[in-house]
Amino acid sequence: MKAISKTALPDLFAALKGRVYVPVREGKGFGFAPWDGEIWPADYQNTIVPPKQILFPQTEDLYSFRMEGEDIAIDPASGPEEPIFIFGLRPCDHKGIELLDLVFRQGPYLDAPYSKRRDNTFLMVLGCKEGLPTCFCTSFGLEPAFAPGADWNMWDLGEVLLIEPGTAKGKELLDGLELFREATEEEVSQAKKLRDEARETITLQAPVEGITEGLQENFEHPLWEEVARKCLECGACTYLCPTCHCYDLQSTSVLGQGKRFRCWDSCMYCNYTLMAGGHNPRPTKRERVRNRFLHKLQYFPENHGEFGCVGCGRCLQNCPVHMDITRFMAQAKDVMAK
Amino acid sequence: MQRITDKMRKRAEELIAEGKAVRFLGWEKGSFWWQSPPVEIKEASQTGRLNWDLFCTANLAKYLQQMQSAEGKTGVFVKGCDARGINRLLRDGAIDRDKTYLVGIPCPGMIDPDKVRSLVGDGEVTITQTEEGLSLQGPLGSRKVALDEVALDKCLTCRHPEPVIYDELLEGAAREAFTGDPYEEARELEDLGSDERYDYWAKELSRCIRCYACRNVCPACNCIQCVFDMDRPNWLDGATNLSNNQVYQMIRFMHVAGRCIDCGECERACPMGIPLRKLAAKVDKDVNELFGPFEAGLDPEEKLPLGTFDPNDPDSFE
Repeated sequence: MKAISKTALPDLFAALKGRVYVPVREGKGFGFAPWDGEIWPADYQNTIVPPKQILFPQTEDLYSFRMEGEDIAIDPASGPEEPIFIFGLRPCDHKGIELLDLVFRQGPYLDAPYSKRRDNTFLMVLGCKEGLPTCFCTSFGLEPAFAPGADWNMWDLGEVLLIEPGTAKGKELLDGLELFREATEEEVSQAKKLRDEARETITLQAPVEGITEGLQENFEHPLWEEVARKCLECGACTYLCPTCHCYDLQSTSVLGQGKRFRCWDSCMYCNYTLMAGGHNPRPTKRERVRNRFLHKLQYFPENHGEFGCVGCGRCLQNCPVHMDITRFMAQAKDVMAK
Repeated sequence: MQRITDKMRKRAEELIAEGKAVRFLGWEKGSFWWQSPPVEIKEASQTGRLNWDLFCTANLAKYLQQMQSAEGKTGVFVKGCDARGINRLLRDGAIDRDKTYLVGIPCPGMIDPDKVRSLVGDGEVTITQTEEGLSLQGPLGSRKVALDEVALDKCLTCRHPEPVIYDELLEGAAREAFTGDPYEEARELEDLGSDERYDYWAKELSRCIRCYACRNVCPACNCIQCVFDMDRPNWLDGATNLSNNQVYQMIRFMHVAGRCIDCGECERACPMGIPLRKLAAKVDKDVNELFGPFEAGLDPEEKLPLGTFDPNDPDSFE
């Protein structure tokens, strides 16, 4: 385990060859922004928008086209991109990216823009000292102050950050820079203590046991209608979710030239999966709200063997009418047991 | 608070039993100290879920739209802003007065959880009302404050804390109505040069993620189909960029011009912290200056400044 003084962080950021994202104050909370040599990483808990937007931008050009006489010329949008370093993401957001990897980077079809960016991304996870009241990561088997498989895990000991590499490239980077010293035994035990104590600060629990099996049996349960009544069908929960990954393909063209791009889409929207000809397989709020919960708690486990929720609590915090997935799970288990 | 909660539960139970309402919309206690989300009560036996405290911020008027197709009357508890929302929907022909039963609650103003957090922290927080104001206890200590020190900004400038339409009114003390200048912040922005003002809004609106929380929570946004949800024609594509975000917010605020009831729900719902009430205030100020003094949502039959022809209207194209 290595240590670096926090005052040396600008030296670290400057030494990294690529674009470095750090948490900064933004709006009424925090967000990730490229380090510009000036800004200092904020002491934050959870950013409002998760770092998924760095790897899977809300809007992304795919290619442009233009008429050349009788022909159409097509130019791919993405050129070579510089490596990405995300400094200070939390273990839940690291897990969120691992889950996006399952969707975009596995199986026969790779998502080219995502994969290309992800292959070149280095994740520097900062353990939480204390969860927010809305955090429930431990319910999904996560640890608030340790992310298995992260390039780096870091712990904030006040004056210094302790760093432990978790991958070969993490070790290579740590060994390759002369900014670090060996951590003392005392510091290592402090980090371990922080890690153990952080777990105790997560008080909110979601009842995950048997939820997938229960939901599989209750696709038409009247509970869906009841739960959906309160929802306003905005997209805040989905856009702020670290694992939601739906997008729409759109294009614009003016005077013989245009572009094809993708942008985030939300299953809460009335035109989501609306088909040519006007058919919508999810015609009302009931089907749309059901889809969001089932995607996290049933479809993701069925398709990938893992829950599609990491317990970051952003949806609980930001829903205008306080829809609460942990309450939903408790309610669902309750009615399904009857 | 408890007295009003008890009264709410009792009246909802009685009204459902008497058949004056088939269901009731109110608020219940949420998962955390700072949440009192909307709840729909469908049986007299469920009225115990109803709760009144200083977090009953959500405007319930909008929910009446989805009740229109349901059988029977819907009872609704209304604060000042909910009541103006009801008038908005009635005036726009979006709901039927005969299908609603309104129980007014004089509103003391609601709490901004962030203001409480900044004083006593988050987590185990308890708020008790005392004769002087509020007593806050949290992980960072205890504080005694006046409600206005932690009230939502929108409540501090509320001109109608008393409901303006109801079938019956519960007893209670409303906050003092704001009589100051509602356009102070709009004026401050007007006083900036046009470049500075552009930069200000460019910075704010570049953060918009187009989750449409501001639109979906708005009682004036009651169109059955919104222009931004259309794909043929596709008036605005889904790309989030400054230009598109500006178009979205400008069109929305022009559409609610002279109809916005200043419930401030757009700003509260915005996860990105965009100061949307300032845009609303600017539009409202212009409507007032161009078409004479007007406050929306005070009367279900109000003549809308932008919906009524008057030969004396200013004609700046002359």
